[in-house]
Amino acid sequence: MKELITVKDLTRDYMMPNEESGKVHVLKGLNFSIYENEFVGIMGKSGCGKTTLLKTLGLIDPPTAGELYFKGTSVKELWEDELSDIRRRNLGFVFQDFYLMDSLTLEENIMLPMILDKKEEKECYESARLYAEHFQISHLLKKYPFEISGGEKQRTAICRALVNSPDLILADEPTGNLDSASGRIVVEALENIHQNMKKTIVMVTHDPQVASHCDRILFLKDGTILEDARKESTTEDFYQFILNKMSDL
Amino acid sequence: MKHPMTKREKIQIVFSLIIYSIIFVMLSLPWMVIGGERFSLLRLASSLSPSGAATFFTEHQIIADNPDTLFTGIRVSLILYLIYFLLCVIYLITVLLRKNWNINLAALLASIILAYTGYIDCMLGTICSNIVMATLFPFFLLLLSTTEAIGRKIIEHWDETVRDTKAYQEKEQLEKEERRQRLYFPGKYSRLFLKVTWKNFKNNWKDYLILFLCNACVFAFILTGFGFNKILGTKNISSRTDYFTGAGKILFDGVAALGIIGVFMLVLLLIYYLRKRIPQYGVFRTLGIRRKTLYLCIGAELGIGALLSILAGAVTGSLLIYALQLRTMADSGQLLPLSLWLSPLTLVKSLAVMLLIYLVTFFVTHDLFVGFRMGNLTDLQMMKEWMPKRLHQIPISLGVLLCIWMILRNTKTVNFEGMLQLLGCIVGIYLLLRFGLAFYFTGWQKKRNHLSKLLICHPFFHRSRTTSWYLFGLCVLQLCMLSTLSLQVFSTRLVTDPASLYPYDLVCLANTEDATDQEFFKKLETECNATVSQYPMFRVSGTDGTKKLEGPGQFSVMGQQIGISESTYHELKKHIDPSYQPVDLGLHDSDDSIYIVHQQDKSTKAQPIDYKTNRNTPYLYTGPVCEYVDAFSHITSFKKYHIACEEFTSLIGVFCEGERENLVVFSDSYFEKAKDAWKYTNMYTGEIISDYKTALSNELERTTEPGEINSDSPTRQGPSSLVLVTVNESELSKVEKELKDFRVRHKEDEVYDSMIESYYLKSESISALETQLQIKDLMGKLLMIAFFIASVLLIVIKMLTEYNLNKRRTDFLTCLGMRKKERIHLLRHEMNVYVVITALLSFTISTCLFIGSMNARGYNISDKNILLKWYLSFAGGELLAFALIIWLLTSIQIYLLEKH
Repeated sequence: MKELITVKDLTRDYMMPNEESGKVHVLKGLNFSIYENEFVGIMGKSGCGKTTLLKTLGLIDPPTAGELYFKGTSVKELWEDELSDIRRRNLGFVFQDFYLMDSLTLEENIMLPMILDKKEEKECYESARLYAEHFQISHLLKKYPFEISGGEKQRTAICRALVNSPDLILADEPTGNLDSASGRIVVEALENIHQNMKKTIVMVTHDPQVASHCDRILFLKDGTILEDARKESTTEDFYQFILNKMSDL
Repeated sequence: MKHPMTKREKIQIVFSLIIYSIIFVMLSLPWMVIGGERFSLLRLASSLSPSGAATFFTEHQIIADNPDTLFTGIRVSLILYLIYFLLCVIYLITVLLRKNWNINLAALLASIILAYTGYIDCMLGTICSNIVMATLFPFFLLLLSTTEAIGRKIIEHWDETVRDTKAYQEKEQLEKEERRQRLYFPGKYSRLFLKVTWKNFKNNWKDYLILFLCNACVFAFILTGFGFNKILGTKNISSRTDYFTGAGKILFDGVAALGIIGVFMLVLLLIYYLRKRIPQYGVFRTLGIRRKTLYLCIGAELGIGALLSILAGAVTGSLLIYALQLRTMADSGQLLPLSLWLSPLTLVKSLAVMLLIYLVTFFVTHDLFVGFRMGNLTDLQMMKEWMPKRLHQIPISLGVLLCIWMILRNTKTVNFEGMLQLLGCIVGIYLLLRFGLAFYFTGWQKKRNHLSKLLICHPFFHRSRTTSWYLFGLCVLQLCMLSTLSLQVFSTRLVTDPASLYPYDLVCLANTEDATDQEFFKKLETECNATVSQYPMFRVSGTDGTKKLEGPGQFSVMGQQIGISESTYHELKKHIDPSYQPVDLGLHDSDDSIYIVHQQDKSTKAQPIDYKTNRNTPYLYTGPVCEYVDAFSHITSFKKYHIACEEFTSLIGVFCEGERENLVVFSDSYFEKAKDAWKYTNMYTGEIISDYKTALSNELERTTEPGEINSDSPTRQGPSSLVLVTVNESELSKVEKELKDFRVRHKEDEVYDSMIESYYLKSESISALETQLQIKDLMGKLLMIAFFIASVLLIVIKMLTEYNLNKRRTDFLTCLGMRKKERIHLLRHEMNVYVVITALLSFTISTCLFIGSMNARGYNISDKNILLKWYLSFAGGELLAFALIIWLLTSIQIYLLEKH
């Protein structure tokens, strides 16, 4: 399998005026790789650096030290606009809070990455319709985010993440704000993307049930990787393994 | 054996030879003009040596206070030139011998010393009549030496430099090409992009509208200021409508204050607007919009708004000017056409000020632009604010002491109610609020029962920095309004009868010895039935008379006052009040005591007669202004006086707003001595004429009159007679031509300062004063409204920015089962804290400043009582209105938070 992301001694600090040292070390020298068509979960206690890692992988936050390679290119050597281009074309984001724009319809929200990529209007509409149908929200396309349910919002966000056919989907607790039924639909959607569309997914989650759908889990503790576990048996066994592992976190 | 000379070395030698040949030619040129003869350095040296200083100076008509010192100075200068010359010669020899000893650097150093000594104390310049050349000559040498030294280095590294530059350019080119290729992003954004950005913008139209209205208001105020000033100038209501004097100055100050408020409001609104918009733009950034495109969107959004608001402001400002015209010009019955006051120049000036405000606003909010984190949409809300944790007592004590010190300073006339006191208090308030709150909350946290107040204290504790900034903003606005602006408005009301400030219809500053002057006054008595009183006087000048500076690098205009004797003072007092009994002024025949009568109306700020140099013990000169006296030399040429006492009243009339034409009273005996001082002093420098000084020091009996010691004596007598005329205005018009002639005869007295005139007419002065009072009152009220609106706006912005936080808190507390009444109490309590702290702090400090200012202005008890009554009513009413508005706004907020 080809490496999509490689991380070497990755460190990320945040300035914190209230701390004695003036900063807090969130990620402390991480080393791992993410391969194409992997479904990777990131788990850990609150404050262990999961979201920070996801933002760094998503090229939103730059690493403080260490190296981050995206498709073999060190992101340090890229200009800001190149990072923007990668985010627009190669990455798709799904957030816990959806981050849909209330002023735009679901259709416009889905089309947004394509619009920003200067795609033709017709192509935008077609893609939006296609993905909306795939995730069963085509009847909601003319509605606004405040008019629909949480599950529908998250499916819209997944459509938006997929619309530019990215190489990697980054999901930050996609089921965190959803009830169990909606959460299940979203997890199924992600699994569908992974298996049928052959997309690579990195997902931060607290939920062992959701995490058990992943191929591989990075367990984080205090900014370091406690364990890099791969699913080698059934989903149920993997779920049990995660539950056991969580007590160590 | 020496290596063969390279091409580069050859060029270096030729270059050095050319430059140093020019230096030698220059050194041998006869560039000095002494006593009409041209001298080279060599000739000067040879002329000085055999004959000695005295002979040389006599032969060439050089007058020197201290010939020996001058002679030594010239010799030192010549020695320096000699050293420089020798170094140049040695250097050229080393160059020809191909020795790399860097003697040119020593020559360069010598040229620097020459230039420096020539600049600070040009001895050669003292004896040369071409002073500019004498000062610049060593600089030419310095320039040549520097050129040679740098040139040699450039030639030495020429090849490397060319190679490096080429490589750098190639690298740049490659980088540019790579950048172009890597960042290639062809095509055009579709119409959908416009649609999406427009819809996104439309969603925030209410916030945009607030920003837009504020922008329009600021421009309207600025345009009103400039436009109205133009009207005053055109209608010639006041002869003093320059920007820095009279009504123009008041307007200018008002517009400046409005500008500051404008910046304040714009910054607040822009911060609020950006805080709201940044998360929305953050979605675009996360989804990969390019930086340039994003900035274009933000720029277009703000730029179009700014343009439209300027247009709206121009319309509103024009209407405002029209309304002001109706209000103030109704008496004259003349309204000026639009083209006169809304000229292109007025618009350009207003736009320039607006641009300046935008620039300041941009720099203040710049951090928000560059600092926002594109993906982290909740950062702005989530950030916990830093709170000072220890050593609170030090800044708190500093704040209290600073406020007390500034309040005490404000009670003294010599501190002229300056901005410094207000600024000091503002800094003190900041320290008190920032560290006082931190002190309180740190203590509260340590208390055992602190949890009982957790919900009440949490909004302040968690956002301590924001809380202290909001409180600080409110306190500053209230302080400015209650202390400075209220005094400005109320004190104008004290001047009920401007005519009473002018006891005489005409005040002339004449000459006793001038027969034409005396004839004119006789004619006034005979033909116009005028009562003419003449009192001896002389001009009293100070190094500083105004805040106005004409341009950069210039000195302040000197102040001109009227010097009178103690007896004259008593007579003038008697004229005003026949029941007046002479009192002791505390002058006691001393030479250095003066009594000052500040001739100003009650609405004018307290001000000393010497702003900058020495306010308590002013340096004064008994004679007309000495133009060559600057901020440093006055100490030697001006005399230091001690102010025995001072009063604020009008004895002859208020002519220059208390800045000029005040009365300086001397003891009778000193007055007699000082009135002839002009005869012995240099009119340019203020120094005692040396011949006379020498004569005095030798205790020789004077054989000639002092003014006649030298026929070219640079002395001049200023006005020597204070002529006070009472006459009917209609009669006065009869002698209008003679008044014009009088002005022409005394043109010399008026030439230095545009505010100083040789005569002052009561009618003109009253008209000017009335205009000033009107503008002062109007601008004060306008500013008060602006400050009040800014205070309310600040609260509105606080509520809007914290709406989501409060909404979440309300929902959370509702879920926890807190009663509605308790939730409402929490919100009301928070806002009440703002009202109480703001009211207490600003009222206490502004009352102290207000009382201090009244003392500084020398108001009598009845005036103080009236003013205090007005002030307390206003402050009470204003703070009550402020509290009511906050209550109303809080009610609206509560309704919105609780409605679901």
